[in-house]
Amino acid sequence: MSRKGVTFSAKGTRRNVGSTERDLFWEKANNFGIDTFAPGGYVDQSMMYAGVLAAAQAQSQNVRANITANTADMKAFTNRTVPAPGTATTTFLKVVEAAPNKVLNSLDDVAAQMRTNLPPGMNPKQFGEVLKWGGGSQSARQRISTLTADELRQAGITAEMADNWAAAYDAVARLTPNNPSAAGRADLMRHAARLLRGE
Amino acid sequence: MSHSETHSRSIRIRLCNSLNMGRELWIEPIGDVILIEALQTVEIVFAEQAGEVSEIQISDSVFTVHGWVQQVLVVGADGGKKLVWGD
Repeated sequence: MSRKGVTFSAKGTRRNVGSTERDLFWEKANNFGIDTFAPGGYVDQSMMYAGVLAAAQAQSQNVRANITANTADMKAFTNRTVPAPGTATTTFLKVVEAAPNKVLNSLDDVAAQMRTNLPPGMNPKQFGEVLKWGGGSQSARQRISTLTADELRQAGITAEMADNWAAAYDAVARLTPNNPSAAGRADLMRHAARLLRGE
Repeated sequence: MSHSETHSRSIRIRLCNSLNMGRELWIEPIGDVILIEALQTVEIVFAEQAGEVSEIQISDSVFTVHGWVQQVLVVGADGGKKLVWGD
C-alpha cells in the first residue's frame, strides 16, 4: 500500500493524547498513507480515528488529500455510517476493532473510551438506563442475572462496545480504588460482551 | 460550521446544597460518589463536545450528574475553590 501524501490536521481540539494513543495512531496512519501530522495539532481519540478514516477513503480513491478533521469526520467515525464495503474503509474499521486495548491512564482517557463506545445517538445517561446498573457494584452484579442479549442488541450495543466499557471500568477501579461502582460494572459489561458473542 | 460544532468546551456549573444535611453527589457514568456537606456549594466541570448535553438529576437526598465530569471543586465562603474529585 503506497503513501498518497495525506496530511492530517486537527489543531485546537480538546487535549493532547497519551503516548500509547499516539503510537496507535501512527501505526494506523502509516498503514493508510498519512505521512504528515500538522505541527501543534492536538487530537482526541475520535478525531485521530476520523483522520485515519478520511485518509483511508482518500487512498481508496487513489487521490492525494489534505485532510482536516472536522465534526462531519468525527460523526462519520463514531456513528459508523461510512459506506464503501470492500475498500480501505472496511479494512480500517476491522483494524480498529482488532486493535489491542489501550492503556487508560487518566479519567480523561476513560471518558474518551466511554464516549467513543456509545451506540449512535445515545448519551451516557441513556446507556446507563439500558444497562440498569444502579449505584454501587452490588447493584451492577445483581443485574447480571436479568440482562439479555436482545435488549442490548435493540439498544445498538455491540460486543466490542461492551468489552471497551468493561475495560474503562477496570481502569476506573485502578485509578480510583474507592469508586463504589466500577468493579461491579466491569463485571456486568464483561457479561454483556459474552452474551452478545453468544457465549 | 460554527466554532462550537468543531471544538470541545468546558462547562462549569455550581450546585448548592441548601439543606441542613449532607447530600450525595453521584458522578455518572463513572459511577463515583462524593458527599456535599450541608449548605455547601460545589463547582462541577464538564467536558462537552458538539451535540452533548450534560444533565443533573435532583432527588430528596441525592444529586446525580450525567456527563463527562472532569473535576468537582468545593467553593468556600471566601470564593476559594478546593478540588475534591478529578485530576
